[in-house]
Formats: sequence, structure tokens, C-alpha cells
Amino acid sequence: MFSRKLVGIGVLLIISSVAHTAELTADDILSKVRNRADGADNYAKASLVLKEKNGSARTRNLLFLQKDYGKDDKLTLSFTEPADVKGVVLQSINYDEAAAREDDQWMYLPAFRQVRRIAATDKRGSFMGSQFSYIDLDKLRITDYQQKILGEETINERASYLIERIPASLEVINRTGYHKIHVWVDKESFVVIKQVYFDAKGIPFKEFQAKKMEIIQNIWTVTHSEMRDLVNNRASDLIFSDVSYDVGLDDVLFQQNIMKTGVKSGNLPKIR
Amino acid sequence: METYLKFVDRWAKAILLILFSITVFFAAQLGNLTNDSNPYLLPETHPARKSILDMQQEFSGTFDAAMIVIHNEQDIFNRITLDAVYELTQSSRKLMLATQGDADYLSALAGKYGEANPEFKKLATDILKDGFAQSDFFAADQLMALSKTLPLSHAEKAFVNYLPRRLNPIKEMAGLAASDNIITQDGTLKIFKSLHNKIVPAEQIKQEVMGNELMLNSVYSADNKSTMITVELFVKQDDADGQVRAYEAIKHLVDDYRARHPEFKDDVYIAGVPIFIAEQKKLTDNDLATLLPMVLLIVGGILVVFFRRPMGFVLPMLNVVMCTIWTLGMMSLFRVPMDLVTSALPVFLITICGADAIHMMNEYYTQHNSGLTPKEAVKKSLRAMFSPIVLTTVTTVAGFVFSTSTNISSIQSFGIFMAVGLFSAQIISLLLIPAWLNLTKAKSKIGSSKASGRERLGSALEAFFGSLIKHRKASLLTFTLFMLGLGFMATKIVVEDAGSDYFSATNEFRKSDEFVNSHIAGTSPGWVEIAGSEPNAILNTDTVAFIDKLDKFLLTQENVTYTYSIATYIKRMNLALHDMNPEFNRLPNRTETVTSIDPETNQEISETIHGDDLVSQLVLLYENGGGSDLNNVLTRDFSKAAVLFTMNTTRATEYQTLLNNLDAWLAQNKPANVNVQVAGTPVIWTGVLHEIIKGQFTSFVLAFSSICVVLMLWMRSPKLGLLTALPLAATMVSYYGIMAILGIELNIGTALISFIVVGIVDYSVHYLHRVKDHLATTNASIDESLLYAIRHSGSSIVFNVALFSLGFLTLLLSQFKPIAYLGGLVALALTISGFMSIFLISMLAPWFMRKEKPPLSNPTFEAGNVNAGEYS
Repeated sequence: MFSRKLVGIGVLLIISSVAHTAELTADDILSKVRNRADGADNYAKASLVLKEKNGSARTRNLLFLQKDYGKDDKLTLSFTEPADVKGVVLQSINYDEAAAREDDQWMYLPAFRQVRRIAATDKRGSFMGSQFSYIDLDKLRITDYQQKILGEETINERASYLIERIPASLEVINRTGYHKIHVWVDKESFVVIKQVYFDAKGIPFKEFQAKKMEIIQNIWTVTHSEMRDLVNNRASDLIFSDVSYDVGLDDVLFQQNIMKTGVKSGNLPKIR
Repeated sequence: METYLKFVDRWAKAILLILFSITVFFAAQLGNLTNDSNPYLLPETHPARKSILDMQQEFSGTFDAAMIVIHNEQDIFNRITLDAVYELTQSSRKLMLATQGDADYLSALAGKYGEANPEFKKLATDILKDGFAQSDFFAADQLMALSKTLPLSHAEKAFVNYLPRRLNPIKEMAGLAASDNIITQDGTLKIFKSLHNKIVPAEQIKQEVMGNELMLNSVYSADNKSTMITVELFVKQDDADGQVRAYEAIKHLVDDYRARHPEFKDDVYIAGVPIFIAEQKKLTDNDLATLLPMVLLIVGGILVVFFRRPMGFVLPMLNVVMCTIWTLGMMSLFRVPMDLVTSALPVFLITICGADAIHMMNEYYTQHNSGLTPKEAVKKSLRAMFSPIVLTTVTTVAGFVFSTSTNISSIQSFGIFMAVGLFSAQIISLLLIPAWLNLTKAKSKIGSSKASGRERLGSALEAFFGSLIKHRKASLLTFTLFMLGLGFMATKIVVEDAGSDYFSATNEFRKSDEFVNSHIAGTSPGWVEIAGSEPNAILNTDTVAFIDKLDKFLLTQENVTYTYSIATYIKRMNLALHDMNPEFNRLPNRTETVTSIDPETNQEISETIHGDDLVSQLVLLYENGGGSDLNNVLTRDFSKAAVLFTMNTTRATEYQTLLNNLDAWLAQNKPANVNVQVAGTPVIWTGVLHEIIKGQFTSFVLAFSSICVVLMLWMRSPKLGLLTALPLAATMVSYYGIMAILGIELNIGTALISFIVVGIVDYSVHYLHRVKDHLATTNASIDESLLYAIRHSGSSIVFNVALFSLGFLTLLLSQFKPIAYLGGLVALALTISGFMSIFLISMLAPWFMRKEKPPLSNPTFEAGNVNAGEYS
């Protein structure tokens, strides 16, 4: 469920030098987005900021841990602050798209001392109360949609492709809640820098924007993104810091037991 | 007086030309008359409406909803029914209510205001390009913002405000194919739409939803024979046209589905508040459009029969038609819209405004029949009628202005424009009738046969009231007893708004409403908002327990069929987290003992956990597990919660009972750290009723006092003023008493009719004037003068009452009870007023008029002195 690259939200993307892009199809472009080399694992601290219309905000801090397992990848998100979410851990296994297998995902609720497996057939739920849905955190899946290039646009002074994606099946609509997506892919980095999501009526109801991009260990990384609900005008920010790639994360961090014991500093390699 | 008489004689043609020119001018304005379809009468700032509008900013699921209920005699959990539910849910979600008419209107607006605001024009043109689509919603929303700088008319402003939501009319959906189900299967938590495709076996869906309190009695009925699709409409509450369109669109979807799927035989019922409003508007518009011409036809027919002369029909009809055009034209000029209340103006204008013309024509024909030429007859009639006609108008205007001084703007507009209409009718009748008649060539003396009808009626009235006068004390005693009885009954009048019961028993909407209310959920939704002072204020065991207790209390109330709150979700999540073990279908306690295996020692350990943490994490699990309905009952920052309840009634008294009980319960049970507000249909409709009824007594007293003062000043006698006003008071008491006896409730419509009654003093004024005049100019006794007046004014009064009563009784044919009541009660009010005027003045005159005999030098009436001998 949680992509190792968080490609959907444009996190941890690498530079890709591409020539002859004019001949690319929409599928080619999105394959490049999905398949960029991005290290064997990565570590980051993250803040999920839930912004209200009145200007108030609540911040939830977490550790972001991801590791490749062949063509699959595993992810552990461990919440550290504030008290009402401290100890909550989310874990997922995101399988290779070709395997056509449903993701596995679990959530640990410290108050119940219980790990609960959660079905991944419907990923429309809010990620920790934010405007991001779980599906927005997924690695981009090419075959779920039929896509075409609508044109080229400049977004925040960056040349980009505008691609329209239409779900290929009812199952995809049921899982995502999206009936159409417009995706802007940065021509230079192949990072998704903007997405607009449409409902059944063709009305845009949510918008993703990459607010800040940095090159970290030669990998283009979106370190600040925003998801805005266009209907109620609420927004959430996902801000990454201390991002590191190829840090040699231990397998124990991706086993279920770690959800109960919690990620301790001893479990983590010395970063940098 | 003489100057006026000379003026209408000398300038007759010019007067007619001017009157018709003014009429043409106002008729030309009618095209700009705007329509405000707000069914609630109250402005959005009124607390009863503001409460729900505020909640709509915080919670989804708080908009008025259309309910599509599918009923299968066997079991709804079969593939044919479920397929229909699935498809109707999908197609309802995509409804669009903007029409080609809207597109043309927008195009006209773009042209009209394009120069003043080119951005407005460009945006409108963009929206219109390729036709309307739901995706034009945001652009239409922007258009609304841009329009704020433009000098739009009321109608244009309303259109621009309504357009975005007509383009995107569906806010939320609920039902088997739209609501979240929460279950745990094989250790996996599933939060999903139970009916998410056409493949899942019906039996599986049935098993998955069974016993889910979030759905039972709302999504499906306890007997599994009915299922409901809730289509929450984003259409503005004020946009009754939009709601009519939504109703039609939903009916079309169902019909279309049936046509494509002949195997689908289930019954389908469409109900809900927007459907109620839509059906009410449809019936009202239809009835007023078809029955009003019928009223006019009957009134015209009676005029012909009574006067038996073309002018007897033409002039009174011209008078009411012209004054109606003038009034509506002025409404248009002043940008006052036609709304639910003011749409009844034409009916009322025709009733009230024709009276002067009829009195004048009756007098004219009486004079003309006595052998006078038209010009002489006109002069004599005007001398006799001018004063009473002006006086009745002044008092009626005062009655309307004061009695409609509520804080409901549409009733105020009604009062003001009734006054405008009466004033216009006065001007028209005082100019049109004499000017027209002055141009009429003298004809030979009218045969006595044409007048015999009125004379026979006059004689009959004289005989009837003569016997009452003879037995004055006995009559008064009987009357007093009668009034005491009616007065007592008046105190028993029921304040009520019967909602769907006002529709005929065979009406499609009423049948649907009754079906939904008796089989699944209820058609009247209400909400209780529980507001904490800070984020997370709701997510603790105490507050959630209070909400659960509130849920349970509401369910004990007679008309409450279903409740839904954050407590329902938490119980369901607790159940799901404990593998559907029924023991956990409850809220977490303040503290709970949780047993687990220590991951490091593998030992079983028991720990005491704070319930607040459990509550918070159940909500977290719901959201992270895929749930998306939480905002129906909880704000994003968890500072406020909403409890939805549905009621299976549309009666205001039942709403009121619930609200009273709820207030009392909250006073006892509400925790100090939260604020509570109640909103929704019960609050709005009782609010409207309160606003109308609460001012009823005070505005009557105010109107009555002002009329008394006017009459006293005009008559230059407090006693005569009081005598003239007494029939009015007796009429009011009788009106309410008879309503109570007939079981007719005091509601928005009937209260409005009672405003008219306050102003009807025409009959007493005309009658008393005739008595006073006769008394002043002859040596007759009071009783002789009374009988003389009964004979001559009585026929006019009876004719007037009969004419309009019969006309308005036509409205009894309406299928919509408020319209039928309008007809019946206007007739009742006029009849009572007519009778009371003659009876009470006849009975009380000796006490009030004994010393009133003025000297013969009264210049106003001197010229118009009528000698009894002329008529006998």
C-alpha cells in the first residue's frame, strides 16, 4: 500500500536524464516515473500537517522507512507525536504490478495492543485524518488506467507533460474513488509535480502539488507536498526532513513485531 | 366634492386615456416581475435556518435529501433489486439540473453585463461553450463571485446563485451502494461499499449488512423488504424550482430504468423534504393557474346575472384587473419578487378590491333606475358613496399594514402590496367608473323588472332583520351566547402545519411519504450538534457516552425512527476490531483492561487502558481503514459532532413535541463542557409557524386599534367608530371559532387569510353610513333608518359577499388543502363579516346612535340626500 517512493505524492524521486522525449507516449512517461532507480531503501522523518480553514493546524510526526524486496517493497510508518497517535504504526507490502496481487496492510493500535490487517480493496480512506488518501501514497500503477498526453504546460517554471488518466476498470474506481486524473510530470526529473482528481461527475475535487523539490544523494526528492480538497478547501501538507537513501535498513523494521515494540533508535542504522 | 365631480365629467376621456396608459405601462413591467421560490419564508439569517446552514459548513450529510425507496414484497436482497439500487445510485450521483432555459438566461446575462464586466462575460461564455456540464460547477461558482459587483435584479441574482448547484446538484449519496459498511472477515478489517458492483452475490451482501446499526432502518428496513437510496441535494434550499427539477429528474431516472429493465417490478417511492417542497410548488402553481381564471369567470358570471348590464360586468372586472396589473407592475418596478405568500396577491386583490366598484355600480344603477340620466346618476352616486368608499379603503389599508407587520419579509410585502392594490383600486374606481359612465349616452328609463331582484332581496333582508330588531334583546342575548361559545372554541384552535397531510390521499407524493414513514427511516431529518471548545473535544468516553445516550433518548421519542452519530461508528468499529464479537458492540468504558502478549517476553499481560485512547484509535482505524463517511457526524478536527435523527411525520405539532422533550432532556443531561444546537426540518418548520403565529394576537390588537381610531376620527364620534369596528372583532372571534369547530388548523395559510379579515370593514361602513345619512335627512326613528339601510345597502352587501364567496368557493376544487382552505375561508370570512355588520349595527345602534342625529347642514351628504320615498 505505501509505495517505497511515494511516487503518488512525488516523494523521493531521482533525476532521470531523458533524450528524445518528444516521441514518448503517456504510458512511456508514466513508466519512467514508476521505474526510476531510487536506492535500495530510504529513511526520512516526516510531518503531516492538517490545516483547517480557520488557519489552525495540527501536526503529526512520523518515521518513514522503506525497503525494496526484489520487485516488491515494504514500508513502515511509525508515528511519534502527538500523544493521541504516538505508537501507531502502519505497515504495508506493495507487490510488483505485474503480479496483480492485492497489497497487504496492517495497522497497530497501541491502546488496544492489537495489530489489525486492513483490506486494501478500498483505499479512499483518509491517511491519518489528512486530505491524502491511502491511494495517493501508492506507487503509481500504469495498467490501472488508460492514459493519453493532453499537452505540455509549465508548472512553477518547470516544463511538464500533462497526462489524462481514465480508470481501466470499475475495480480501480472502487479502490481509488477517482474517475479521472490529470497528472503533470516534470520533463526533466520525471517527478509528478501536480495532480488533479475528478469525481464521477467530472468535477475536480482534489489537487496535489509538489511545493518543494530538492536533490538528495542525486535523487530528485519532493520534500514538501500539499493535498487540497477543492470542495471544502481544507489542505494537508506532507513535509520530509533528514531524507537518506541506501542506509541499509534492517529487515526487522519491516516485520510485524516491530509494530508492537515500536521503532527504537537501536533498530536504526546510524544515518549519514 | 363638486370640483371632483366636475373634473370626472369634464375630463372623462382624458381620465380614461391616462388610466389605460398607466395600465399599459404597468403591464409592460410584468415581464420583469421576479420570482423568489424560497419555500421557507424565513431569511437565511433567521436562527431556525441559520442553524442548519452553519452545520452544512461543518458536516457532510446535512443537506436536504430526496429518498428513493425500493420495495420488494419478498426480499430486497435479490440481484434484480440490487442491480436497480446500484444503477440508480450511480445515475443519481450524476444528475444535472441546469436546462437549456438556464443556458439562454446565462447567455442573456453575459450580453447584458458583458460591457460592465468583461471577465463575467468571458467566464459565462466559457461555461456555455459545449453546453452545460457538471464540471462547470467551479466556473459557475466564480461567476457568482464576479456578479457581486454587478447591478443584478433579484431574479438575476437568484439565478447566478442557484446555477452552480443546479450544475452540481448532488452533495452526497447514501445507501447500499454508497454507504460504508464495516466488518471483520478472517481477521481482516473491511470498510467498503457493500454493493460495489453487480457481481457480488445478493446473499453475501445481505450477510455483510445484517445487524449493522449504521444501516438498519435507514439503508434497509428491518423486514428486508425495503431499501433506501438517499440523494442529498446540494440545490439551494431557496431554489424551489431546482427542487422541482430534481424531483422530475429522479422520477425520470426510475422510469428510464424500468423501461430498460422490464424484469424490475419492485415498487419505487420518492419522498423527502425537497420532494415535499417540489410537489407543493407544483400543485400551488398549477392550482393558481387553473383555478384563478375559473374564479374570475364565476365572479364575472355572477356580475352579469346580478347587474344584467354590460357595464355592471365590465367596470368592476376592469377595476380588479387594472388594480392587479398596477400592483404587480409596482412590485416589478420595486424589484419585489413573487414568492410563496405574495403569489396569492392576485386572488386577494380580486376579492377585496372589487368591493368599491360593486358598491358604486349598485348605487349608480339604483339612481339610474329612479329615472336620472347617467351623468346625474353618477353625481348622485358619488356624493353618496365617496366618503364611505374612501373610509373603507383607509381602514382596510391600515388593517393590512399593521396586521402584517411580522418579521417575515414576504408577509410584510404581502401587506404592503395589498395596501398598494387597495389604494390603486380606490383611485381607479373613483376615476374609471364615473368617467366611463359620464361618457355613456342617456337611455330610456330602465324597467323596474331589472331592479326587482335587488329590491326583492332588499325586502327579504328588511323582513328578516326587522324581526330581529323587533326582538332586539332576545336576539342580542342569543348572539352573546353564540359568541361566547365561538370565543371559547377560538381558544381551542390548533396551531398546526400538517405537511404531507395537506395533499390529497391519492397524491403520489403523499403515498410515497406515508410509505417511507411507515416502512423505513422517516422523511423529516433533524440534527443535534454537540460542540466542544477545542480540537479533539469530542473524542473522549464521557462525550461519546453522552452522544450515545442522546441517540437512545431520541429513539424513545414517538416519531423518531432512526439515529446516527459518532457513537454508532465507534460501537461498530469496536465490534469489528474484536472480530464481530457481539459483547463489544458497545462504547469503550472510561477504563478497560486489555490483554496482550508481550512481544519481547511472549508473556500474557493485562493492562488498564484509558477509554479516551480507545475512542481516538477506533476513529483513527476507521479513517485509515478506508472509511469516508465520518464527516457526516464528526468535524475534521474532532471538535464537533452531529447526531442525525429522522422523524416519520411532517406535522408541526409532532415536531414541536419532540423539540420540547429534547430541550427538557438536554437541560438535565448536557455536560457543561459542550454546547448543543438543534437544527433541521423540525426546527425550520416550527420556526416558520412560530414567526407567523406569535405576532397574530398583537398585530390584530394593533390593527384593530388603528382601525378604531381611523373610524372614530372619520366619524367624528368615538361611539360610532367603535360601533363600526365591533363587527370586525366579532368576525375575528367567529372566524377562529368556526375554524376550531371545523377542525381547520391555524397555519401559515389560514393565518394569512385572517389578516384580511382584520381589514374588512367595508360592510359596516357602508351600512352605517346609510343609516346615519337617513337619520340625518329624515325624521325617521333609528329602527326605521336601520330598516331603510338594510333594504338598500343590505342587498349590496349580500351581493358583494355572495359574489366573491361563490367565486372563491371554486378553490375548494383544489387537490392541495391550503388552496382549498383559501377558497373556503375567504368565503367564510366575507360571509361572517357581512352578517356581523348588518346584525351588530342593527342590534346596537339604539345605544350608540341615540344622540348622533346631526343637524341637516352636513355639506358632504346634503347633496346626496336620499329620500326614502324615492325608493319605495
